[in-house]
Amino acid sequence: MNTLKLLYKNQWSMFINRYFRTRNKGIVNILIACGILGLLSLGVYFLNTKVVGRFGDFPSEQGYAVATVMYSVVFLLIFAFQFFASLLGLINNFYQSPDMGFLVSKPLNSGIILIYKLLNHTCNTIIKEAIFFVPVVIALSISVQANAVFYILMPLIYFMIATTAASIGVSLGILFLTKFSIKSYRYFVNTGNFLLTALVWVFIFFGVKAPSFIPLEDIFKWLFNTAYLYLIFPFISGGELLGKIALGASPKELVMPTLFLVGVTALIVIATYCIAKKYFYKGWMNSTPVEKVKTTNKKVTNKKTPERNLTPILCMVKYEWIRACKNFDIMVGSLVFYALYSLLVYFTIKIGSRNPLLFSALAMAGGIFLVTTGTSVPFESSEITKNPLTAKYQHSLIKFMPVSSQEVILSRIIMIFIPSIVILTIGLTISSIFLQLTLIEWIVIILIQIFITTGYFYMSQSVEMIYFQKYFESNKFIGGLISFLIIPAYLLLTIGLYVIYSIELRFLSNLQRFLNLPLIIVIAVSTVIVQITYISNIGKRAWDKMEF
Amino acid sequence: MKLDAFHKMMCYNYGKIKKLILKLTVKTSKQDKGYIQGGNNLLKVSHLKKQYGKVEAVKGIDFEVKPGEILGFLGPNGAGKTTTIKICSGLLLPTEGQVNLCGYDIVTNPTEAKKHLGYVPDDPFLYDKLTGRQFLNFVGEMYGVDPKLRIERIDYLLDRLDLQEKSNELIGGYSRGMKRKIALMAGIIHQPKILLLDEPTLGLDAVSAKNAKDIVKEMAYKENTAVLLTTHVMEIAEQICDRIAVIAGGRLVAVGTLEELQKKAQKGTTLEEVFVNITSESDPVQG
Repeated sequence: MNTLKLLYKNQWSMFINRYFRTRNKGIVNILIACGILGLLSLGVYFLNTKVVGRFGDFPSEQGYAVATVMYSVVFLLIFAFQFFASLLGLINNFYQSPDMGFLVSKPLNSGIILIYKLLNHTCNTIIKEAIFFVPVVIALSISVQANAVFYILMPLIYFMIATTAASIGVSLGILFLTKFSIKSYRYFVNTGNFLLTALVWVFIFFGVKAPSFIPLEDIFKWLFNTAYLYLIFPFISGGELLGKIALGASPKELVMPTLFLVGVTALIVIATYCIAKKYFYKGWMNSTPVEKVKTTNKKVTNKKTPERNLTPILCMVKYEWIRACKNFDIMVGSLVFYALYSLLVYFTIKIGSRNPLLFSALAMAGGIFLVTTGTSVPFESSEITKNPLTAKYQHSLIKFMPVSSQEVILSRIIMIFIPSIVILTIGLTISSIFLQLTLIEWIVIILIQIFITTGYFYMSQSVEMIYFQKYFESNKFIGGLISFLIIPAYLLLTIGLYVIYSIELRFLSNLQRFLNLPLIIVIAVSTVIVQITYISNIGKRAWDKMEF
Repeated sequence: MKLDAFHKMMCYNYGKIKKLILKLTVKTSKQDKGYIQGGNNLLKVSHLKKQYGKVEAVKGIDFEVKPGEILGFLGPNGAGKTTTIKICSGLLLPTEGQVNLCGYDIVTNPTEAKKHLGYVPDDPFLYDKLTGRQFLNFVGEMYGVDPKLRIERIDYLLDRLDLQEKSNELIGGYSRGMKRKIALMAGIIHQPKILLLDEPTLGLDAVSAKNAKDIVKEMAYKENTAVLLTTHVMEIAEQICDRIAVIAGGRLVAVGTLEELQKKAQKGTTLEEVFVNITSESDPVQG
């Protein structure tokens, strides 16, 4: 226990040093925290008035019943997210966490290290997901006009459900890693995560039902008709418990959901600890890279000798592509963006026939952001998931090579631009066919897309170089805000004005009076030219000034 | 006993003689091929200063490295060694002063300057999703090394540093020592005229460390490369450095051969003793 106390004391010191080392730093971080809290409160207000506020319209008992179901659904989502977050974060938080080697080398009880890491992992994943779910849970609670006891128990129940999901994730992950490598684990989890997400999207948007051989209905009937069996799921027992507390049920009625929630949570946590104690170190030892003793004198040579060298730009593009193609660890990130782009194209086709050009413009704006982001993901080192500083540090290799800033920026643009433009052209061509655009219209929008994407790349690459400047290292929030705002600003000036001009919405009529097609074209073309000339020059200078 | 002493003496002298022969050979070939550009110094650092906010990490240092010379850069932790070497490589910008590589200023003419430079950082970034061989090909191609020569050189280096077998595996799966070896190879694949090494033997096993030292010596004495290396290992500095520069608190406190430093320190025979004496006195002397 003392060891655990010491470890957490150490972590507390690290927290203080990180956020409150100096007075200025402390003030800035408190202001940021206040800003986040303010945004969360706004989120709660929005949800409460626009989404869940309607429960108040129901007769009280019906409203509470709906709230109980809502709690269960929200807790189910929390459970699912927590479970996957736990699986995804297992390697970084556990097996390859930077302090693992240090902790294991110290004369500490291995069980204590395990508890410490388990708690850290659970808390880390809970905090990451909480930002999305806490406003929903609080908005729901306000809508049922819950009493004080409710608010005291709510975080506890939330924590128990999240802990259960995280623990199941940890157990499964640890068991998997006793048999398979970390590499296989990453492929498996990332692919599984992607497929499941895609499946959920398909269910939601395309109304696909479960295949008939899966007797979902029967399973549900059996679960809910067998006494208390459904309470075995923490998200249901938790939802029912909160619903009943809000309803003002008698303590007797709270016994069963409480027993199930506490019992199942305790059981799962204990089981996880036992599994971790038995298998974790085995997996950890297996996952540590060891230099093998040379056994043969086998000589590996190149298959063929190239005739001549490529130019530095093409050389960088070539090897970056090779690197990206093998970057399976974070490839799933790209697939998510591509999947979103596919959905965008699908909706453009489905609802765009009323005004094909307008919807093509919308698809173009969304597509440029989604596809370029998705394409740039595999060009980031997978180390970035462990250490965010790698985003900048990975450029240090090129920095001491004899290449100019112009060549660096151009190579970065080309390597992402070519695959992006291929995907964007395919997407826009498909939507154009379904929207029955003429050949001339298709050619024009494709050329416009290439032109705007070119400007977008000059802008995004230059902004990235500027973001890596020393000033933004200590002012990350401002840097992040600029990077975040500049993309919609660019898309607004290049495509957005046309959308505002063409769309038939009453509240935009005042703005539309100031717009006409020649003006929109001039603004859009100037915006792109400014990126290619002025902004890219700033980017080049930023590369020259970049320090490592 | 006498035989043993004789054997030790012979081994010691053999090393010195070999070094001398190598140097003489290089000097002749150097004159023949006209290697030297822009004066006698390939690397020239003048009045170099670097400030991080209010902290002055490097406080105006001057030194130069001649062709075929190995200059050891010694100093306690936080003395400014890595900052200096990073400025020389172009990874950091100087607050004041100049760094000339083969006559090119690293700030005003970085691309030309870097063409002649090889740099091995203490914590190198490598593309983990490339194989060792692909990575070396990439670096070689970036420096414009002729394809045939590049392949030969890669094979030679992979053999020398015992990495031939693993060369077609992804760098991400390499151990720390193997990554260091790849970084070293990447730093010298293009046979640079100036080589900057930040803790070159860190994380290498004894055999590989010896091979690495031999390669550095070959670079200097056969290929006429000017080498600047930082190290904490006194034996390395003693064994391979022609001159040693001691930096403390961002200032150069002594520059010279081991004998000259011994004289300056007045007491102490080993480099370790000399280093401790000099850094504890910290009497700034510009070299």
